[in-house]
Formats: sequence, C-alpha cells, structure tokens
Amino acid sequence: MADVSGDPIQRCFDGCYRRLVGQLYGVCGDLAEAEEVVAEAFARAVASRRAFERLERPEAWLRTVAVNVARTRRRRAAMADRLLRRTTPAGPRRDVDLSEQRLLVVAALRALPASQREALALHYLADLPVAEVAETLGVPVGTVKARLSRGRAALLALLESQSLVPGGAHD
Amino acid sequence: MTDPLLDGRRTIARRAAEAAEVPDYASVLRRGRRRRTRRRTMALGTAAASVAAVVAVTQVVGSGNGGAPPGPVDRSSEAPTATTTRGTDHVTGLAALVDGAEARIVSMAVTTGDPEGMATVWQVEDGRAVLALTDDGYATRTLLEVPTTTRVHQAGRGRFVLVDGLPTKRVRVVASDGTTTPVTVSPSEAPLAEGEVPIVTGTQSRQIVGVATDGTAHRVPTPKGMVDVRSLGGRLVGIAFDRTAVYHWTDDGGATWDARDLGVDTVFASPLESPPGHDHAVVEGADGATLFPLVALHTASAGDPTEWTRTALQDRAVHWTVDGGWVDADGVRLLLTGEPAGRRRGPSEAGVFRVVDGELEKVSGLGDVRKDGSLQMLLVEYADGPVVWIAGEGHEVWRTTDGGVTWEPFRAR
Repeated sequence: MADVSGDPIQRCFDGCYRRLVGQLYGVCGDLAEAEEVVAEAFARAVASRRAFERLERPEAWLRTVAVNVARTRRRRAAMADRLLRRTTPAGPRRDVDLSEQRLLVVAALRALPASQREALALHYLADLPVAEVAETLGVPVGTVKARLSRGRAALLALLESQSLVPGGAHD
Repeated sequence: MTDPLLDGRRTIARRAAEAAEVPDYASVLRRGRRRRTRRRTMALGTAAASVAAVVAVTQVVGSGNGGAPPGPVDRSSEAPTATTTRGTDHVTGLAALVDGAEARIVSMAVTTGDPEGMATVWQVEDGRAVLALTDDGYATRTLLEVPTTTRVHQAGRGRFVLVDGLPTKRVRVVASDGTTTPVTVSPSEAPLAEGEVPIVTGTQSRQIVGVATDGTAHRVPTPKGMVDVRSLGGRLVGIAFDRTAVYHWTDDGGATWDARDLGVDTVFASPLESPPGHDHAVVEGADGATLFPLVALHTASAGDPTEWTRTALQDRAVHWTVDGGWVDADGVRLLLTGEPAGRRRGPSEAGVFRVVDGELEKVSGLGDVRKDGSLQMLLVEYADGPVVWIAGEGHEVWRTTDGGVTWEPFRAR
C-alpha cells in the first residue's frame, strides 16, 4: 500500500517543514514569521508542482524561496513604514523556549544587517556548510565568508555591550 | 559565554523546529492553488489581446482543477467512443491526455496474481489526472478523470479503491468499468478483516481505515503520530517521530501493535514493506538538504523483532538516494540511484541493491527499465512473496517477482 502522501510535496512537507522553520527562525528573528515564510515556500511549490517535482534538491529550493520571501516581506514592511511615516513598534514576537543566553543571541542577530544575519543564522544556527549558505543566498562563497566574519564581530560586540534584552525587538 | 554562536549551534534551530506550529497540509495546498489560479488569471488577461492566445489559454484554464469532481467515463480500446454526458470532445481529450508523451504515472494497483487487471493514475499536466482501468491488460480500458492527488489501491474481486487525496480525502471503490461506490467510514474501530484494504487518511497523523469492496469501512487502531504507513501481505508498519524515530508494526491487522525506538534523531527514517514472517527494515537518511540520501539500514529478524541492528553505509564516495525498498525471503532489497559525491550532473548508477556488511551489492542494474537512470517505485504487492512494480521509461510498468533479479514489462495505459 502506498501512503496517501505519495504526493512528493507532502512528503517533503512532512519531513522538512519543522527543520526549515528552525533554519529560518534565525533569519527572521521571529518564530511566527519563520512559519509564515516556510508555509509560503510550500505554497509556491504547490503552485509550480511540475517544476518542483523535477528538482534535484527540493529542500534546498524551499529554503532559498523561504529566504527570498522573508526578504520581500521585510522590504515591503519597511516601505509601508516609510510611506505611512510610522515607526514599527516593537510588536509581539513569538520566541522559542531557549535559555536567556541563547535568546540574547537571537536578539543580537535581529540587530544585525539582514545580509549578515542571514549568513550567520544559516551557517551557525542551521549548521549549513558555507557553500550551501552561498547557494541559498545567491551570493559567492567569498561573500558569505566576509559576511560571516563581519557578522561575528558585530554580534560579539553587541553581546558585550549588554544593550540587549532577551526577546528584544531590534531591527 | 565562550562563543555564543558555536555554543548555540544547532540548539536554537532545533528548538525552533520543535516549537513550530505545523499548518494543515490541506491549507498549504489551497494556498498554492490560489496562487496558481491568480497566475493563470493574469496569463489569461495578457492573452486577451490576441484571439489565438485566448484559445490556447482557455484550454489550459479549462483543464486545471485538482479538486474537480470525477469526469465522464471513457471506455474504449483503440479509439474512445462518445458515450458520456460531457460530449465527445471531453472523452477524446482524456484519451489524448493519458496517451500523451507528457503523461506521467503516479500510482498503480493490480489484481493480485492477475496483472491484466490493472488501474493506473496518470498525471498529465499540472492540475489534471486520469485513471486508466482495465481487466484485459489494456486491450480495452476505462478512463476516468480524477483529482491529481488520487492514489489507487487493489481491493480484490476486480475492484480498486481510490483515495482522492487532499484536501477532500474522499475514498471510493471503483470497478474496472468505471462505476464507483462511495466509501462510508463508520466511527467504530476494529482490526482489519480478511479482504479489507488498508487505506491511510489524515494529514498530520495518519489514521488507517479498512475498506471492503462493498464500500463499507471502519477505523483501524493506529498508533498515535504515525506518518509513514506501509502494508504488505497483512503486515502494517509505520514510523512515528517524537524526539527519535519509533517503528511500529502489527501482523494481526492492528489488533495489537509493537513498537521499537530506533534511537535515531532524524525524520528521515522510512520503513520498508515487509510481509509477515519476514525481517523488519527501516532506511535511515541524512539530515541534510536533499531527500533521503541513504545513511544506514536498520533491521530486525522476524524471530526477534526487539533486537535491531544498524548497518551504516560505508560507501562515502557515492551519494545514494533511496527510491524504494522491500524485504523478501533473502533479505532487504533497495532501489537506489547514486552519483559520485560532489558531482551534480546525472545519476551515475541505478538499480536494485542488497546491503552486505555495510557494502552495497548490486542485484540488477535496471538498464532495460530506465536508460536515464531515474527510478520510480510504484507498488509492492504480495502474491506468495513481494512483487514489485516500477515505472518504465516508455510509459510501461515493469514487474519483478524474484527480488529484483529479472524484470518484465507490462502495458499500463
């Protein structure tokens, strides 16, 4: 008997959804946002089913799409803020049940430029090799290494400044 | 804090993964379909500028509804006959779709011991699928339009069970002439009875349902959280994930279940079909960015299924992907495609393999079946032993009854 989940996208969904959310949590800095962008990546897979089913590495494709969705949402939010001349309030975020020390790391990541945050989150938190981070972000390996180097320095400086609070809403 | 990033390595992502709220897959499907519809609507608007383009786009839009109700029946041999309420064009269209070069088989079932009785589901384009039924090896056939998520199972007495998949999860019994009987699932729970077909429903946690050929059905006791359920010859197996993968199995139709924690911290553990009296096996994949690269094989003997052995794959020079597998009297058989590690272009090797002392030993190369090296396992049925069916390159299906050593082709549409 074949499982009903003979649907390859559902198989991927069953097997990868949580892991992708885990990987995107550091990129987005918010669990709800990570869930949203991963769900949107799967919806795009459904919308392009035939192309998706021909992919050699569907999970890598989903991760890249999710990162791009996160970037787009961030840009749109920033544009809306500018148009409406508003300052985004430090709204409620959904954080993960982590030690205070690790929540501080997440808060520090949120305070970094997006390019550095993405590289650090995918390499250090999601444990992806540098080459795979480069593939996901669509930049050369050297660029990723540079972002990792600068990002680490910036993150350590932030942590040492002790200006962060766990769950803090820096952007 | 020595190094906050290295210190938090994996933990933050793992905790986030554990805390994630998983949406219903059906909602993701709906969302994706809405996106596709929007895209097509935009395409239609663009095409409105040209009469010729309008015609082409209308054909695409007219075909696209994965959740569409089943269409008319086309019972024909060489050429379809117009005997349906929706007209000749539609009937002819079904035949053209299922016979087209683009048609791709996604599910099949055969009458046990009689491969002339067959049902195959062909996905012909994004959003459209056709069921092809026969009782004479496709000398004649019945075509039925079905939702794209439809999967078919053998039900005995020349009938098949259709599971229309998501989001409807509608279950029907269909005869080879295309007549269907809706399945009604009673709320009672009981083990599988003789002749009943185990069907899996549910999106997050699976529920096994026993379906009889008359359309009656009932729930079968199912361990909580199982996400990968297989059945062969009366044995049901599945995997549930907590923090580690737990293998569940029953040889009495679900009256009693046994479980074994495999102790592996990966969601890429998948059970293999094995009939009662045979060993148990689970393949372990890597926690990586590709689906199911083979890492290890977990096995337990039929005599003592509490003692499991993990055999790690020693060949690191080749990246092996598991396309399927089963257990027969001689042990585990794996359908694998492999490519040299680090190289991205084309599979270098494909076939049926055994695992011997951590090494893969090829049983057959399947060169006649798929010259392009891509493999698709469609079905493992039980007829005095596992009988395995895989998709061929020329729209036929191939069967082995000897553990993958020899294969013979069958017409499938």
